[in-house]
Amino acid sequence: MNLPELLLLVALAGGSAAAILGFARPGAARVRASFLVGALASAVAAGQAVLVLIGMALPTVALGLPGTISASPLLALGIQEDPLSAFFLLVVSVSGAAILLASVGYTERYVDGRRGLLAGGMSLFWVAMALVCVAGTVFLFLVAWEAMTLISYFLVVHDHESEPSRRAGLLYLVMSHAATGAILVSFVLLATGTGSTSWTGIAAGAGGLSPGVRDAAFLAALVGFGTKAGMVPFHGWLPEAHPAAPTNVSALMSGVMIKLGLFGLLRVALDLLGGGPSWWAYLVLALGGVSALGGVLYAIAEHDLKRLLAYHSVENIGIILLGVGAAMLFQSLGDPVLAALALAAALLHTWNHALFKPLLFLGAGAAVGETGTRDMERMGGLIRRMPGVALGFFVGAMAISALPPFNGFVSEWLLFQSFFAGFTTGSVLAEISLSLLAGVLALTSGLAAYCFVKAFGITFLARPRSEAAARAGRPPASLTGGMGILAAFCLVLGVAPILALDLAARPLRELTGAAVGSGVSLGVLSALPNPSGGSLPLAPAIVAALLAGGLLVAWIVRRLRRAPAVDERPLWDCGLDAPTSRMEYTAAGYAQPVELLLRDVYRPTERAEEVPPVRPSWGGLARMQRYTVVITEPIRGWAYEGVASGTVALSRAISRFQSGRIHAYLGYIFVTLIGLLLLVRAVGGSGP
Amino acid sequence: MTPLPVQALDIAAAVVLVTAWVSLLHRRIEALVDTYAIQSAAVALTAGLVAYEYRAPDLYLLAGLTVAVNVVALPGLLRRVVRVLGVPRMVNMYASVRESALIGLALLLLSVWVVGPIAPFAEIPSAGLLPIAVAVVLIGFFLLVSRRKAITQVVGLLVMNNGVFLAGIALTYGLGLLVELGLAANLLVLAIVARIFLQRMKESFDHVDADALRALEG
Repeated sequence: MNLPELLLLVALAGGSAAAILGFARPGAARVRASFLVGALASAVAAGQAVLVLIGMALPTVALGLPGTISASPLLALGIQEDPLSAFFLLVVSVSGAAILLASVGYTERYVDGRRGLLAGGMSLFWVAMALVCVAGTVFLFLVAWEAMTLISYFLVVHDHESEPSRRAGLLYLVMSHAATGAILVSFVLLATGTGSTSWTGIAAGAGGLSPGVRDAAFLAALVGFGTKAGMVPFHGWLPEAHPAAPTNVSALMSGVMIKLGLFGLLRVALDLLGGGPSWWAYLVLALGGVSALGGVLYAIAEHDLKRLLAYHSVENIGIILLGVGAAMLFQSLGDPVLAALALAAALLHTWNHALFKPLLFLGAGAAVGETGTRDMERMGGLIRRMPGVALGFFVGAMAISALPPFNGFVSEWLLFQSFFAGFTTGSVLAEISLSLLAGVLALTSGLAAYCFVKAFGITFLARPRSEAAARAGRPPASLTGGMGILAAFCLVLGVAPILALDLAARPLRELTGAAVGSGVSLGVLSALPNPSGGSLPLAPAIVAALLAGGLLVAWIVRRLRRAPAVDERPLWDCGLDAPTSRMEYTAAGYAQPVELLLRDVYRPTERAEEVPPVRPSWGGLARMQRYTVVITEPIRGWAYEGVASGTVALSRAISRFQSGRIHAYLGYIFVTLIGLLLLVRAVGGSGP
Repeated sequence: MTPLPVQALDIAAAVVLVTAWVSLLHRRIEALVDTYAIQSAAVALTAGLVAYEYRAPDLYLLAGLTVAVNVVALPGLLRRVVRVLGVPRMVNMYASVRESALIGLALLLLSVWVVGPIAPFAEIPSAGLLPIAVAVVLIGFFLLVSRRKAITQVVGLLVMNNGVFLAGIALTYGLGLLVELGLAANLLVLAIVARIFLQRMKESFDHVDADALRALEG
């Protein structure tokens, strides 16, 4: 047993111990201890993943047959940690540790009952996710995958007294179940085609599969894993489940769990099948583009803080899929170096999103917990009540808007680079689609920034918009602490992305076959042929330097210029006593220009109505109007309702066979028997 | 000239087949039970003849068992059920007698057409019994499907069982003593359970019409 194996065992056992601690007869101290042990286990797993990524490895025997007691207990379980596994284990565990730590305070302050269940469930959820990462066989993977789904379902319906929670949970469960069915189909095709159920065996035999089987396995995996990831059009559960769950659970699900859908897709499409024809890539690119743009558009129209964040998860999954699709495209065009660049962008954005999305969710959790509402229009001014949380949310908002010096900028920058570099591939179709998608990506980033101006500004700035917001308390220290860890990661990976790229080097090498050195950022970027002949600069550092230089210059100029004497006077307030919160920009008002511009996309239902007159304290005009916009996704109307009513109709039709008459059932058997006899005679009747 | 026992065997098998077909024609339950008793006797005779012709002494025991259970015990039990429970004497059916007769013939043709050409069995001397056995099974099944009352369904099941038994004799000179014993015991238990079940149905619903189970429909 070597060090990585020992650490992995310790982490998994620690997570399970945390779960038991939480489930055991609860007390405040036990809940706290459960979260802390879980966070610790998660941190150990993160360290272990780093060790594996920089070159250490679990012991490998030829093939540990299940049931045999091999020298390595993990191998006997079917656990296998290749670089791709390790990278996702790292993603899962860093965020997992921070979220579990933040949950200590969050749960104590904002969760009413069943805290022990929540604590144990979240640790167990983490263990299941870690197992999904390191599963080396189809069986262990599926067991861990289903465990993950079921545990997260119970976490979503934690607040099961409320009807919306139960409905959201049911939708999530049904969609996840269908998704697992698709994944099962994919794995069964792969396993029966290659005669092996371990990743290594399948990968070795996948070359011999017929194109039809490969296509079917890929499509089934895309549907199954895409549903978990929240890819349009399979994202329907996401904006429902995230607001329903306790916010720390949302952070874990939206930040971490949906990444495992991408993990599965990478595993099947690139690792097991080793890439495919270019139409796979175009399909992924198209779905990624639609997810990115659709996610951000509906986020803008959303004024429920948690639903807004959920739609942004759809958007970011779309961005990551754009990277994955570009990598697949480059690979099918026979350019592993460009594929490595695009995949580096995808992997990096995966990690980045796993860092800033929980950060945002935890911030939203504090805001929602303190004000008691998810409606942004009733928040405001929270920056004075919770400066730490506001700072953390601000960092997250900067990162998700892809602004330097935070990490979101780096990955989207890399993605742009790979798209533009695609002009050297020589395939006209690839060049046209990549340039179009670069436009989509640019629009998405811009709209995301627009949306987070709203999310941060309306929630944290200006004056409180409601009594509850004015009386908001200070969130617990551990919550702010957990956010601090995530924010620090966002900053460090934004300033020194080379750290993350180094860690991603081994998975990149393994998935694309490109000779990616350990200094991958330098290696990949300087290896790129640039249209202008030179090599692409290591852009983020330069941008950061430029920014810092600009700030320095501005500061010096300001110092040098003697500031004129400032004469302070009260602002003219239009004759009113003091500005009130009703004079502030509302979220709806802020979003309206975009809604107006994209009327044909949104198809909003608008309503302006007269509000019963209230006599203001100052006497005067009392006519008031209220303007409301309701925007629903069209896809919900036709696709989801269609599937649901189709299923119901089908069950009705089938239930007609269930007449309840014993003779009818016997008759079915009789007719089937006769039919089979005829079939035998018709097909196999090669007798005398 | 085929030896006498073999001719007798053919005749006995023919009786099994004809009685199966005839059981589709009866309107009265007692007649149905009587026909079943005759069929069972013919099955027992077949078993005895096969035992004699092919030197399979086990089959004598089975023939005796068939006589005891299928010819004497079960029909007696069924008659008692009819008498004690006061089941209406008429067979209630979904298909008319004429339709049933035609379907029975069609099933016979089907089994000859399907089973006839199965090559691997051609070497077994008694393999000629196989299409008959399959036809009997199918006719029994049809009886089971097309008759309304629970008691006629029991008879259908028993006819099917005779067919299976015949197939066993035809292919392997008996399915093996232990299996046959088990089957016979099974049949008895089935009859007893059916007896109790019918009694309960009678007490609870005042009739024994399996059609009434529809009320359970969800």
